[in-house]
Amino acid sequence: MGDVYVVAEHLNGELAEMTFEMLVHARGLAGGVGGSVTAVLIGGTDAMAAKLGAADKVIRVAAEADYNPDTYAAGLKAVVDAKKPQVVMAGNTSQGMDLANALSARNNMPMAAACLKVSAAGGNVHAVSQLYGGKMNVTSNLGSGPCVVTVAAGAVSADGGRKDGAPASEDGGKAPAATKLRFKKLIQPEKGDVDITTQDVLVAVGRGIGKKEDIEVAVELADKLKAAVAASRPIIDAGWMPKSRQVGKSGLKVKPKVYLALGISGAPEHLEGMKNSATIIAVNTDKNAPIFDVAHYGLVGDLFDVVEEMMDEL
Amino acid sequence: MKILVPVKQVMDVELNVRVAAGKVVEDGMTLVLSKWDENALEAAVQLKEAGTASEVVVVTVGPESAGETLRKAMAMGADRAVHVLDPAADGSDSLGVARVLAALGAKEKPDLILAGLQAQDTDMGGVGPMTAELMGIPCLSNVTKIEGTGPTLTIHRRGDQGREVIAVTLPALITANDSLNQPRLASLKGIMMAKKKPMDTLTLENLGAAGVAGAAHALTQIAEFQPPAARAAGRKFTGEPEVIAKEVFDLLVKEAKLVG
Repeated sequence: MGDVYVVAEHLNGELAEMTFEMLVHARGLAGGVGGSVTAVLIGGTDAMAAKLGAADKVIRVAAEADYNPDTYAAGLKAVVDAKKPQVVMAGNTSQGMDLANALSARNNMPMAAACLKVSAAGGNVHAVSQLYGGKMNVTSNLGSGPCVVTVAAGAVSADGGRKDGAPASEDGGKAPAATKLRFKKLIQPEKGDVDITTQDVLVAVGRGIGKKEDIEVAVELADKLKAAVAASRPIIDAGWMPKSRQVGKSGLKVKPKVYLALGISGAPEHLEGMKNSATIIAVNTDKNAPIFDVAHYGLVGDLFDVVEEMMDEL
Repeated sequence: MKILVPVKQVMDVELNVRVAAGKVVEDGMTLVLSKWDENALEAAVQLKEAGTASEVVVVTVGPESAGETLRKAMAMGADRAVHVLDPAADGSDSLGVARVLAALGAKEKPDLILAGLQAQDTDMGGVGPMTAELMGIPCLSNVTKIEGTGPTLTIHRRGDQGREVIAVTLPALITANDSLNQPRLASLKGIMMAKKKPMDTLTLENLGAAGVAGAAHALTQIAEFQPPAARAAGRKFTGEPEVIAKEVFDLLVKEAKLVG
């Protein structure tokens, strides 16, 4: 009987979207390995536990709410050592990667990162991960013993993992205090600015916009569409827009209903941040631009001409 | 302060990476220094230039060709290099490489290990944190800023809810985000000097790490590589701006019910 343990993530006092996605992955996998799904909640609250209804059980580990890699890793290890689950699942996030890697190294557990899919096959756990910046997938065999996986955001819908009502709760002890790391403060993205990760529609600009003043064109269009303006890295690096608007690997990952890419060629790092958008419309003068590989609708043409015509239509 | 920078030689992923018969096609691919490692190295060299670090040692676990990567790193400013060159290490998983680096760490005793966030080929991000765990030193990943001169450093890292500012007491390992800095290009002088800098070649046995790495000891087995599922090709419009703009407008109405 192999149980699947999900390391529940929480941010700003709320369970993270990733937690619900993991519960969906875990439920499918637990069926395959013949066990149950347990959420491990470190430094969480009763209100969070009450939203983990998609798990069969929750193990609560007492810790500071402020994430500290040392403390959280030690708390998780203690639970894993005591309970010996078959699969420990974390998010492929800053926190999740810290915890999963530390656990894998400490306990000699095989590991796969950034998994799109985790399943059981012939008694072994198999994981499909992305690599080469998303240009390739790899299937790893993690064997039939204990293993660790981190799952990539957005591979499944989180909806199936949202279920109110606290599952049976168990005490997982108290995480030891960290001695070598001291959390000083959290600097959140500039307040008052738009959160591009929660928008339904994004108008994103790239190098093709040419100069800073012309971003105004995108702003006007976005206003008409009740959308927010985002940008690719060159625009941020040039200082034309704040970092909080950057989409891509070193910026934010977005999943709007419509992503309108204006003059963005589509470097792999950018595509990684937006390719899961429901509908992608791209405008670019270069008909071979990689953005067209992920766009549902591609328009080969000058963005200013296209935007001008659109404004007329609107 | 002594800094150890582990680096990896990878296929240039900007090129067209292909799969044939479940394996990555390596023929004809250019090999480069993984880009996050360049950020780690740049940070180390800057700490040396600022007088904070006394020595920057670059290390790789890889085949003969990886020696070029070490020369490049020395051209960028590392003082010396260690090449762990041993066929027995071929086919290591992340944990195998981490065990070798931990053995080297025990020998070199750096105050700070500066690694890349992840390798550009596997994108796994495992080696750095695993090495720290095996060495029993703290790890801070995804670092965007380093302040201070030790023995305590103030580190800014990209967390999941914003920038986390954490004080860490050395020795420690940190992994570099690519916004930590802009890696320099090696100067001609740097390239000339790199040829004279010392490069040690070690086997696993030299490190007392025989039997900890390599395909035979990999816990994670690669079953096969596949190209990502091809998505249905999008529709492409070309023509006069007013015509295609009308198309977009219609799409916005139809697909997203945004207007109209």
